[in-house]
Formats: sequence, C-alpha cells, structure tokens
Amino acid sequence: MVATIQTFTRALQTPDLSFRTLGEARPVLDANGLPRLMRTTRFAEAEISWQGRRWLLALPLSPAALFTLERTLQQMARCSSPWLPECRLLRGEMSWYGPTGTPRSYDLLLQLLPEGRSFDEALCCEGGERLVEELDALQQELRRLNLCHGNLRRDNLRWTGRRFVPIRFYDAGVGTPERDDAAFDTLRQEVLRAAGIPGVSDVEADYEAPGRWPGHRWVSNLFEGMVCVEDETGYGYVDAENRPVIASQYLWAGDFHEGRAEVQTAEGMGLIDRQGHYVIPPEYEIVSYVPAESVSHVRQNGRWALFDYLGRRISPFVEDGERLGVWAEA
Amino acid sequence: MYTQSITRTHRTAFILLIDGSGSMSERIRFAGRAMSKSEAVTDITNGLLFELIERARRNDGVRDYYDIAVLGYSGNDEVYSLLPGTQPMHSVTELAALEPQVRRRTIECRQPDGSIALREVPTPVWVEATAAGQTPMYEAMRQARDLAAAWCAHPAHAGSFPPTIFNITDGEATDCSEEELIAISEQIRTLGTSDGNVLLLNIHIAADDTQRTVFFPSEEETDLPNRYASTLYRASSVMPAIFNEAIREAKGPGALPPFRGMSYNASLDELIAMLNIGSISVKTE
Repeated sequence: MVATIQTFTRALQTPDLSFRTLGEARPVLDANGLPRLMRTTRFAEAEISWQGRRWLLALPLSPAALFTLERTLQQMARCSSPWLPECRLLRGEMSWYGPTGTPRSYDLLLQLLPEGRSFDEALCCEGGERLVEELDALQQELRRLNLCHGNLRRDNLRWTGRRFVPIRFYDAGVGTPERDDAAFDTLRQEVLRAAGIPGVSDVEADYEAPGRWPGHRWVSNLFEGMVCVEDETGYGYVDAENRPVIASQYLWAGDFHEGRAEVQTAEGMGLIDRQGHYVIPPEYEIVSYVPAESVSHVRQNGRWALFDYLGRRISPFVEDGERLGVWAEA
Repeated sequence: MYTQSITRTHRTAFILLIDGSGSMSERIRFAGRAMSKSEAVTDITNGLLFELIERARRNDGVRDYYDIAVLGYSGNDEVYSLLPGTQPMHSVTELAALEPQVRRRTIECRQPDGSIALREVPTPVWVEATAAGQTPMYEAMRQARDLAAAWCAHPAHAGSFPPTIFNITDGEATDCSEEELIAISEQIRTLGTSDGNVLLLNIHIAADDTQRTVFFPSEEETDLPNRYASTLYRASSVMPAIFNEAIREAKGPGALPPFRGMSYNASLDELIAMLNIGSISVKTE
C-alpha cells in the first residue's frame, strides 16, 4: 500500500515512533506547527535536521518512483565527487499501521542539504563570471560521472561558496548527461542577466567545514569508530584518530553500519567486516546492506537475492519486480 | 476511458456527501479516542482535504488540480456546504487559502511491542461535525448531480478525468424509496466527460466490527447481507480498471475485478481506504 502524505506528516510529527534510523530527526515546521512539505511529481519532501545537519527527506508517491531512481543512487554512491551530496535510500524507514491494523513500512529517500546559500542568494554575493564558471564546472562533472540530474533549476542548486551542488535528484538518471544541457543554458542566462546587479558582499565565504581527518582527498563521517576516506590509492578506513585501519584500496566504500560496509572493487561489489575481511565477496553488481534487518540485497545479472549477516545467501535470485519483499510489505 | 492524468489544464472534481443525521452521534472508538461517528467522519474528511491540498502543492504554490465540494445532509431535507463561502465547489487553491483552524489532537501510535503511545499533534480542520435529524440522502444526491452536471458541462473540463462522488452514511435515506435512490444514482452515473462517466461510491459505515462487511464487492460477491446493501450495490459505480490494483491490495490477492464502488458496514479504516483509493490512485501531474 502506498503511503499517503498524511501518513508521512504523522511520521514527521512522531519521528521517534515512526522512523527506524531518523528517530531523532526534527522537521522544519510552519507557523501552525505542521511539517512544511513540498511536492514534486513523484515525491513529497520535508526538510529535517538530523545529526546536526540539514536534510531533505522524501516520500515516494508510488513504488515506481524509487525503482527508477535506484540504479542512479547506486551510481552516485560509487562516485567520489564534491559536486554530489550524500543521498541514501532508507529501506523500510517509515513504519505505521494500516487500515486493518497490519504493520506497514515504506522506503524513504534521504538527501543532504549542503550548507551554503540558495542560487538567488549566490547571485547577490558572487560575481557573474565566477558563477558561470562554476555552472560550467558542474556540467563537466556530471558529464564525467555520466549522470543526468533531469531537473536542474534555481531551486535545485545550492551554492557552497566554492561550487554549485545540485539537490533533489528525483528525476536523475545514469547516462544521457546532455539532457541537462538546456537547463544549464537557462541557468547561465539567468546568472548573466543578474550580473549587472551590484553585489552585497565582496567577502568570499568558505562554507566547507574544517576537516577533522586531514590528509585525505575526501572523508566521510565517523560511524562506529571508523571513518571512510578516499586517498590516492582508493577508498579505505581510518579510526577516530586518523590512523589507518583498512588500507585505501577500494574503488568506492560506504560507511560502517552494524559492523558491515559495502565496498566496490574492479571485480564487483562486496561486503566487508571491521577487519576488512570479505563477508560477501566482491563479485556482485550491487550489494546493499540493510542494518535494520541485518540482511544484504544482492544483485547478480539483474536478479536479486537476500544474504544474511554472515554472508550466506538465504533466498534464490529473482527478477527485479519480485525482489526484497519491501514493496510487498509496504 | 479513465486514462486522463490530472493536470492544471485537466483538473478533476471530488464531491463528498456526508450524512449528518442523528444516528451519526452514536459513540465509537477511532484512533484511540472515543468520539461520535460524525466526529470520526469529519476527522477523516479533514485528512482527505489535507492530502489533496498537499498533493497539489509545488514550490510555486498550490496548483489547481482539483475542485472539491463537501456537502452535509441532515434534519428535514437540509443539504448544506460544510466548507465556508457561498459556492459549494472550491478549487484546491481556494481551499488551501482558507487557512483552516489548527487544533491540537491526541493521536494513538502503536509501537512494535504492541504498547500504545499517545502524542499531541497539530491538525488542520476545514469541516466540523454535525449530527441531528433525518437522512435526506436523495436531496443530497440531487444536489451532487447538479454540481457534477455543471462541472462536466464546463468546456475546460470536457477531456478531464470525471468527477468522483463519495456518499458517506450510516443509515438509509429517509426522503426517498430505494427505487428513487437508484434512479438518482443512475442519473449521476450517466453524467461524464470524454474520459468517462462520473464515479459514485457509496460508503455505509458501521458502529462496530461485529457485523458482516461488504467492501468493494466483485461481481462474484452477490450474497449481500440484506436488501439495503443490494440497493447500495446497484446505486454504485463499477470501478474502472485503473483502480483495480489498489482495490486488490486493500481486499487481498484473491479478489477479482470488476469491483463495485460501495461498502456496507465498513469500518472507519475501510472508509479511509476507500477515500484514498478513489482519490489519490488517479495519476496527478
């Protein structure tokens, strides 16, 4: 059963009772104390604060909305790019009871809302040439990543002080990055039109948080005492004191949850434990670990199977539409 | 037929008819609270209005995807709009601009271990509960027919998804015979746009769950509990195929379409399911 916006609103009002991992999230409220919502064609969205950062939490308005995004999210997760905000698909995140008292759960999409300014604010405080350069840089980066945002416009860009970071990847897709070309042209024209307006600030702000784990090309956050980092040799893990724990060797790696982390090698994706030992060998197209259920959803040749915490396959590989049981539950 | 997506240029309409007769003051338990059936139905109606407004909301404001009327019927042939204003039909933009009262309500949240947690949350209220007098359902149907006819006759709606009418009651009409009720229902169901005929869903709600329930019956489920349930069955639309998946999900995998848009002795949860299926299953831009 598809969750309603009313159910989503109730969950935002009672996060500790309704969300699995976002129990401490706080939604942005309107003057009446109701969560402030926004809708796209296929998602309803609320802004929340969680773990000291701001996020967009999105409810798919149909199961198909997420199926079409899934491959893109996997691709984004593998990319190491400061132009891409953190996006997570939270399996079974929202729980409630259906009309007949049956427990229900539903997947939600969590996207980091980068610190910084809106596009319109950036127009007021940055030079037009600089902004056009950064739009060019973003366009090149999306081409390099072979990603298409699909809905680039003023509201869907954040200015971090260094670059534009796109948000709301609801219409994104892998391949055909040229689909964004017309949107980039429009944005450049908007910047140039506004360029004649005098700036209100000549001070270039740096909105990047100072690094706690220096010396790496990129760092994630501390999860279970481990920090995922990217070095010249690839992705790996350091401890809270920035000491190497698992050598930087992967094409991509995810954060640790319940002692497990997804990693990508040239041979495929796998799952490792805290010692760096493979629990699921790196030979699959996708390995998506769900900490709340202690299972991994694993894709091979386009078919999906469930693996348990110890890496044992517990279901046969089946076609996409039958996978997971997530939608069947929901 | 019934394939037109809801857009600003192809909006649709929802008309809710709500029984406000004396029997609706009967006490029931809903969402963890004791209340009258009338209060429960208005709670659910306010929830539906919230859902429709939020589904129409975009970053540039609320878009006119829906026209909405909520009519109450009670007393002696009294049919009245439960929304403010002189006209019964409101665009969803107008409805959103009404700035409803926001009341704090205690809701019941069931936890995984079965225990109950109570929380007070703000809830917007557009319509208020009433319960007194008789059940002038025929007059309500007649006014709904006129509203739907005027809406369908508007050139801008010629190709739109047709209006959907929900009639929510706990009793039998006191101002007409069963044949007259079926006749006015047929008049409603013959109205339409080029995308299909007006859909009429009759939802008969019960005070408790001890009686046998009929919920979106299929053609095989002809063993209806009594004559009045049969009348409601005949007075209701056959649901178009686009609703089949949602109805089968609510009824269970064995259910076979076509389904009739009616329920008899439905629980309030089934009422919510029927309203959701009839309103938000249709693809909106």
